[in-house]
Amino acid sequence: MSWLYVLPLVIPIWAGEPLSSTGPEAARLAPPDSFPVFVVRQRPWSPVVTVRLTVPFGTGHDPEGFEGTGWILGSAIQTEIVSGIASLAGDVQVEVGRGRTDITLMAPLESWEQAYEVLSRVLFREGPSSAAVEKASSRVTDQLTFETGAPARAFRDETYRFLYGQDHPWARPPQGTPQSVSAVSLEMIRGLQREWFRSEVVHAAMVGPLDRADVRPFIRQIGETVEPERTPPDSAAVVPDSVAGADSRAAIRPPAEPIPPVRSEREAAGLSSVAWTSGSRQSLFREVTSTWIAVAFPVPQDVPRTSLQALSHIIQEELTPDPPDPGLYWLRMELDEGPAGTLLLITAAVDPTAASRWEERIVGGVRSVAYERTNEPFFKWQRRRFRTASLLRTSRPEDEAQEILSDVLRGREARALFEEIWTLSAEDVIAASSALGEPRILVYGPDLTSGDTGR
Amino acid sequence: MKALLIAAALFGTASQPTEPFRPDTVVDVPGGPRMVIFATPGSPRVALRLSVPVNETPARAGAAEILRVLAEARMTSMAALVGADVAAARTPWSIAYTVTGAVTDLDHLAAILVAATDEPDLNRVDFSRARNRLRDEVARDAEIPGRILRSRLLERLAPDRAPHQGTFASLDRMTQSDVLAVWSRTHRREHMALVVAGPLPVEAVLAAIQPLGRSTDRRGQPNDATMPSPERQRAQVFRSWYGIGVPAGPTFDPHAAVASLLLGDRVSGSSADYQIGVELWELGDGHALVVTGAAYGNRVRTMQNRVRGLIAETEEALTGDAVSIAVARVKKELLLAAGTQEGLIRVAGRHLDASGNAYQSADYMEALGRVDASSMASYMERLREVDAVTVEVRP
Repeated sequence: MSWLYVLPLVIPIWAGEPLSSTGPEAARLAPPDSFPVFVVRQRPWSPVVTVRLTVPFGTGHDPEGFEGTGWILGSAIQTEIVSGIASLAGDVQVEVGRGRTDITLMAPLESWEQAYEVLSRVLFREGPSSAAVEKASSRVTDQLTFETGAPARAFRDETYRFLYGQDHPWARPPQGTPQSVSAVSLEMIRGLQREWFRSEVVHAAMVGPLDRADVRPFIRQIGETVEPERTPPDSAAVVPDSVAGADSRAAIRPPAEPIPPVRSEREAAGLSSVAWTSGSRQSLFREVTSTWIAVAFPVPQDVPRTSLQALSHIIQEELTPDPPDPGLYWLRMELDEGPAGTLLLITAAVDPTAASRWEERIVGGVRSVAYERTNEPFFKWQRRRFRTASLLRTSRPEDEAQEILSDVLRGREARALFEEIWTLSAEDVIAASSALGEPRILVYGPDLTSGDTGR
Repeated sequence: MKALLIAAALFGTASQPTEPFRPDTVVDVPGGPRMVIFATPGSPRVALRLSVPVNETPARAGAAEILRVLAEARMTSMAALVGADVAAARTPWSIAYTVTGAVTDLDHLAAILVAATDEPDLNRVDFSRARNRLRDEVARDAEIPGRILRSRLLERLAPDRAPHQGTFASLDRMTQSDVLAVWSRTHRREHMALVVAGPLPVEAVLAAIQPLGRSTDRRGQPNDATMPSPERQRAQVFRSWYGIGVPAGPTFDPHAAVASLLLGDRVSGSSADYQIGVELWELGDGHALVVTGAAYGNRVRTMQNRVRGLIAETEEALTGDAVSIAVARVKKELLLAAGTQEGLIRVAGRHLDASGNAYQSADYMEALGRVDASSMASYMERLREVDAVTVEVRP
């Protein structure tokens, strides 16, 4: 069956070296223009070109008192691009997180350059129109109204307040409040767009039926079309396009507000490589019908990503058996890249009468998985399932691009994930589990002991 | 085997991303199944879709759905070994069994498909459980005015087609022998079609599916169970519901999909006083455009007029730009689906099931590229002249 062993074709482009024209191995080459990193992964049979861009701007950068600005900006950008590519059979999604914004463009091979040109114009030069901003503002307001009092949103907000502290920018409500959203002006939106949406700070990944010859001129073209008057207020921060090249990263200065450090930068700055060193627990009693639990484990920087993902997969399977536990409504596992480091964040909604049991089960499950269950044959079976799950998780090109960017944003090479998984051992997973720090636990739900749920 | 490979070479075409639905290889295996392969070079994944044509009589409506439910349970159980994604789905033409996983697990993935199409173990408990579940679905639909409306529209548009989940009448009389009879008639290797998206030589797929449809392990006649008829439910209707159904041409006419988007755009967010929806139904041998509406009291007549006049209203407002954008939207949906192997086999498989033509989805894309304002205007004019069926559900 050896002929079935197929390597993914990977052609990352980074500063300096020439592209490998034969091997599938990752090679980082010089950006011919603005992007500090532009990774291409070939999917030669796909009719769709997918470009995913990550901008280091999130709702954590919303000015105080103007929470919701990032959401309005993201929504307006999406509206503007969707309208511009309506006849090109393309699609765009903008996701605004707390620390970054992800823009995903998908377009047919024959029209992707035109579609990207629209995206590039809106993102890096002109920004969204006033009509798009108005529409986005109205949409965000409607959503706020619709979600008022929704326990899912309240729980999410409380989780980030608990994890990062009341005053941290990441603890602000990302969607804002009716007051803060109504205070956001068009000038503010445009100012943030000019300040943050610059290709020099954007990391990009492309998945599709493309090779170097297709991509090279395209990237150069993006650089050449940047208009000087649209650059940020501090124009010295931007390298003129004509000289942008291998040394461009050195000449780029950060925007006015610092970008939340990625892991490698934190390390260089001598900052702690783990989000916190002591755990804690908080109960918030609210008059809601479910109990919501968040358990966050800090992950040290040196834990290999693949081991961590395998651990997360194994825990997820352990906690969500088939048939399902009647006390569990849903459970989600995430690797949360926060400003203080990576977190293994497990959130769940459970029957309030089963809350204590589930809190213990989540914490105990994470602690016991690798020690009690990872005997060799069982581990091999889990690893095989993890490999298939990873394949299926990245079957959509946009998800594959996201996976590539998650590596790149941590300052790593894009992994050959499926090959790496076969080399995983039970000891690797045990080591990842052992390295997790003390958890912080938030329980949000009714107080069943007092008989008064609205305390 | 040699003869098969030659056939594959003759049928084979070079796959291009600009023609994603044109298969690389089509093989008519003697004794079945028909095999359609999309090469997807470089992918570590493979997706397989095996479809079995099913055409139920109204008296046995629901039998294929019971087969589907039982097969999906078997597939899920087997998929646990490797963590593959599996599904069994009804289409207007078939039951489609799909499995997606690692290329290296091909043999096991094929074994899941073989098990899915094997003779079901129709023991009394599993059969009763599956039939009760369907009956619950039928009962639930009978309580929801919008679904009652759709069910009556289907009866009028395609009187010889029964709902997949069956009816009270068919389910109450259904026995294990009936289900077995449907399985025996339909699940024959020579009728099956296999669509594969994966970087695999055709021999590998042929070898993996060798045991398909060869089950000789007959389990004998089951002990038939009958089910008493429980009390029928009546729906509580508060709004007046009204719907029209218009035969919209053959399944492969892309004008129907474009028209449904144009109609939908006309009513999207147009009024808070009443609710109107547009759907495109596949009825097996053709499309139907269905427009439904719901309104309270004094808005009922306005809503009904809007539903009745929507096709003419859309025809009047037709512009070249609107048609181009709607065509691009249909194209986008198809191309984005073809960006994944599971999406590719789903689209190509449905077209294959409906037409028997392995190149139907590629032909459909080409036909979509020829849709313009002029052809849309002619299509809408024809649509307006077709007799629509009308159904009403009142409080």
